Amino acid sequence: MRWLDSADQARLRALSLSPRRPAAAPGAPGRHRSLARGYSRDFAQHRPYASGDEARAIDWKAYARLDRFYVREYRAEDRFPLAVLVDTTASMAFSGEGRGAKFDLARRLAAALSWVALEQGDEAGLFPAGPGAALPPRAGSARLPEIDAALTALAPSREPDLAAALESAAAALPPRAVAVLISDLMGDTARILKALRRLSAGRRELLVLRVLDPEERDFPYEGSLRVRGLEGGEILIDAAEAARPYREAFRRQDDAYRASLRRSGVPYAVASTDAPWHAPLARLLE
Amino acid sequence: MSFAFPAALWALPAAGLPVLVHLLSRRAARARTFSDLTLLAAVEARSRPRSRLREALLLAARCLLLAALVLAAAGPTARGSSAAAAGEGLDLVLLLDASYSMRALDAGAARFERARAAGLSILKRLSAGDRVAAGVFDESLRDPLAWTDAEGAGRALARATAGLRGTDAAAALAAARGLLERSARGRRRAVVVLGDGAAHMLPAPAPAPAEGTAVLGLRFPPLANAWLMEVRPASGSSAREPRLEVRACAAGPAAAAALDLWVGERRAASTTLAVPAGGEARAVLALPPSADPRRPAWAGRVCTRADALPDDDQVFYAVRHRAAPRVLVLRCDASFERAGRSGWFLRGLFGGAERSLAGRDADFLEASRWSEADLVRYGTILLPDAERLPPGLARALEGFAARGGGVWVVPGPRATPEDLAELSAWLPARFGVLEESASPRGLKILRSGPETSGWDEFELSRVAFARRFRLEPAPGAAAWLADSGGAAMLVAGSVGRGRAAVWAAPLGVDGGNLGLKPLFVPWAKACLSLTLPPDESEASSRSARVGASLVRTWRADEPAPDRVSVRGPDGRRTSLPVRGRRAQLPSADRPGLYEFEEPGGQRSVFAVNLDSSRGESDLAAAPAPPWISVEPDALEEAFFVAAYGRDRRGLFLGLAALALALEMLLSLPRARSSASVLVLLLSIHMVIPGRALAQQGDRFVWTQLELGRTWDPYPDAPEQAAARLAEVTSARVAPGRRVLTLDDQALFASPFLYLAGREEPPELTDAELRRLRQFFSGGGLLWVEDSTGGPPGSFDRWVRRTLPRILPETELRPLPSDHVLYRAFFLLRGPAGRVRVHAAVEGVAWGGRAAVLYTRDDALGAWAKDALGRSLKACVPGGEPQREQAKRLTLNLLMYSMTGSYKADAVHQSAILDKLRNGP
Repeated sequence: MRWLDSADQARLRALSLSPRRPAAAPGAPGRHRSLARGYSRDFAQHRPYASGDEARAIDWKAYARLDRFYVREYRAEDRFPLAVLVDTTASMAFSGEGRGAKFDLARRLAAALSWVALEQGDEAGLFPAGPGAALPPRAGSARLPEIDAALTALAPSREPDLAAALESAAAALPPRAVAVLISDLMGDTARILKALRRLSAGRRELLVLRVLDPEERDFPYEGSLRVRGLEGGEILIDAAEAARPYREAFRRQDDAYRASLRRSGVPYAVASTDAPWHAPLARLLE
Repeated sequence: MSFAFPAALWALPAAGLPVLVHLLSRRAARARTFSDLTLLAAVEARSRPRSRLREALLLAARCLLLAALVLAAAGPTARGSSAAAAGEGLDLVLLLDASYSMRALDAGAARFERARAAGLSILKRLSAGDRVAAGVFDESLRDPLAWTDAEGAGRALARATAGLRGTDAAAALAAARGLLERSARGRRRAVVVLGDGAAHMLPAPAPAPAEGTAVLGLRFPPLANAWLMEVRPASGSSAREPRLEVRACAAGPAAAAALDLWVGERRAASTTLAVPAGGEARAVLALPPSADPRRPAWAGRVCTRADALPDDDQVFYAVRHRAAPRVLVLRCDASFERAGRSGWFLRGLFGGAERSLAGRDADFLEASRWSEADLVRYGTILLPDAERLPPGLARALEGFAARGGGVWVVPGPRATPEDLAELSAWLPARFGVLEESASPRGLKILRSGPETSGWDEFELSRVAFARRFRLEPAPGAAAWLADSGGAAMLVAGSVGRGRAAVWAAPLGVDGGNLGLKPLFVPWAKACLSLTLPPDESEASSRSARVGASLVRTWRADEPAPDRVSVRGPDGRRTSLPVRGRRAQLPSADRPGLYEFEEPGGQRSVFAVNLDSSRGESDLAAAPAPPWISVEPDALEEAFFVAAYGRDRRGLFLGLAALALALEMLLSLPRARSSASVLVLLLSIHMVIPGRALAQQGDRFVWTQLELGRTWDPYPDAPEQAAARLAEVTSARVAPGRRVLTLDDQALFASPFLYLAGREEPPELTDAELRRLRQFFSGGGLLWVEDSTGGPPGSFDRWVRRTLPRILPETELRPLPSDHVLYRAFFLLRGPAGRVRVHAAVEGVAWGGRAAVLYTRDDALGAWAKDALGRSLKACVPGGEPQREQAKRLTLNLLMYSMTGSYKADAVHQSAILDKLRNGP
């Protein structure tokens, strides 16, 4: 496993991934609650007996106490597909001074999420936001090496437009999936938010994990700079002068994401290349 | 503007260096890769105009800084146009005005002293290579100008005293110019006129200063001054009625001059004279009668109140009149003085011991004793009853008249033409035939003159003559009066150098009625004046101006002594020889009275006065003097500016400092440069409380009090709780938390305040207690939590000690189980926490609500998580359900802080009960 070693797997054992909204209709049987009543060990409720109910469903102990027939109902259990969306736009290739690239962090997070889902018996798939081959969600222990290989094959493209990439990725996602977007969310804030809403549309459930390099947050440069963007463009700027307003603008952008996603009930966490990625992942999955 | 080191100006192009550096640094901008430029581009676009302006200003400031430094290094000097030469050494001519106007008192000191001090102040600062020529001048230079050093010039100035003469600065300036023209080329030249700058300094136009010479002069504020111009005998003054005329002048405002007339050491008269502004006034003062009527002379002074210039406020005079010549009456008849006879009338006329009606005094003598009289002493000899004369008298009278005396002949009552033939030979009229009672009455004026003016008032026609001679006027003689028939009655004419008058009729009552008429006195005066030599009564004044020589001469007919002694105004006596009837005092060097005393006791006095004609007393400043006028105190500074120019290095260094300050301000990070604005905003913020509230909007902020060391047992728990609050309730929650102390103004922007602790925080001060109470009275809720989760410790004791100090009127009590806290959001059965040790929420009821809630079961501990999101601490003894209960209690607490007893309202009861019944 290139992107997830055994030590990481051991740490991830405490985490679990479950959809917030129970699935309305049962899919493949799995460990997640479904709104449909079905057969499992989870007691849901007592219901007065109605003709047609199976006799074995009658709770005889209740009948003994109450002298009425009550039927025991159990929650059906469900398996869900996890779609890991990895941002492959050009800005993901950025790496700060002495640190790994954001894209490597994104690949680790994608592998970890896939492991968590596969470990609890759910399906996992990989969808690049941007150019790259997609892996549809499948269950089974064989899926993880496939995902690992696909992640290795994935590379940041020259694609500059994250919003457009998200839009096209949304079209490719299965309709009833838990989608985790791993992206730096760098670009036009309004358009990206619009694309995120599209991603979480319908019965899909979205989680957003932002990966950042601390340099993108702090802009710790000095002096006169000729800044070239990975997604194109070039700006001549006095770093000392621009740093403060940049940090301000960055903070505002992050606040906008945080607030907007919270309003629409989308969990959001930020992983940084200079810190362990386990904590943000745990926050995201909480 | 010129430069001491012009070579330094070659460095001026270096001022453009910042522009070059800027251009190079633009090119040398470091390249850097960045992930996405969207935010950066927006930031750059927003700050571009301002940063461009700042950049331009910064460049300008730097260029200015360099340029100013280069210019300052070049030694900039601004100089007056008159001092163009810039060579080695200085040639300075100091001209000190020692005229008497410099004695004027200006602000307590004489102008002379101030001018001299100003000159000495310049000398002190001269350097070794400089030459100075110091000259003292009044009407001319006292000594010729010669070069010396500063020390010698200083001694010359120190020796000088202000004199009593006038001023002529033009002459001194011409001398200075002549000296400077001979000085070496390339030296700096300057002339300083240490005068008072008054208009009288230049009676003639000053010569133009030589090329490249700085000419400076002093200027004093104009002073008002009044002075006495002159004292002289008034017109009409006579020995009997001596009068003086005084002229007083004023420069400046009108003045009232109080005049005192002193004769010798005695004040004889006082008067007040109104002198118009800038004009003059005259007064006539009467002198007392002379002590010696034979030699009527007066000497003394007229003075007025001393003002700015005291020397011109007194004028000395020495006036004498020639004594009115006496009349010698030579009577022929022994019964001359009997009533009705001519002597009787004449005694009445000349007054005897009393005042003479004729204006002259007379001595009476018998004609036969004429040789006993000293005829020279008399002006006129009157024969009132001429008959046969004693031998020799007629000849003596002729000689007397020929030498300038006057002879007046009236025939006696018994005289015949033959008796008078001896006189008729030389008198202007011959006594012709004697006529008795034949002539008609009346008198006629043949010639009008001063002698007969005003005679119209008299009844001339009533004058009658009983006996008269027919007069035959000699050629050249004039008939003044005639009888109504036209025959001459009074004839006058000259005899040699003298004059004689002849009357035709005897004076006694048997000769006519003239003696009884009022006409008698004017007639007698007219006859006397016709016999008096001309100019006999005029006054003369002996006066001279200061510095002139005094000369006393003796006439040929006067006896001249060998020596005279002169007593000056200071009392000193000088003995002078008399040569050729002439004694001369070479120079009267101070004003006053100079008395020439002859060995015989005869005195003659000269008055010596200042020369007021030079206008020295007018202290008004000259309108356009040919020099740079400066005040004495500013002379030193102005002189060195004029001679060497003004050093402008300070100006450029100041400019450089300004540019440097601007540069530093501009190159500070923007946060610093706007620090002052921030301070201003902060101070406004202090004045307007509630600003934080506005910023916060209607969102809930977890506000935590930083008090003591253990104020923050679970740093991440508040965020969890707030996020949960936002999730499960409709409350709007601000992200993050606010940590503050009791001094913080933001305390009043949050209704919820959380205080946790494990150990005792410091005691609160009175101010902090007061603020907390203010917080409560503003509706705030304080949640205090003892985070130990064990038995009561120091924190618990602190809480129980401190709360009564804040809210003394109430106390901490356990909340009843039906308190609205347990229904504020979740419906709870009772208190909960991470532990279950005390199982109670205590509260301070204040103002109808619980202002303070106190929990000791570590409710917030239930929220704490580790880095992987697992709960930090286990809940005992209830496990996870207890954790959920603790969290719910926390949320209820938060909601209670926002809603208060809202849920206790009966309106909601049915809904609540319904929910309790049908709950999940």
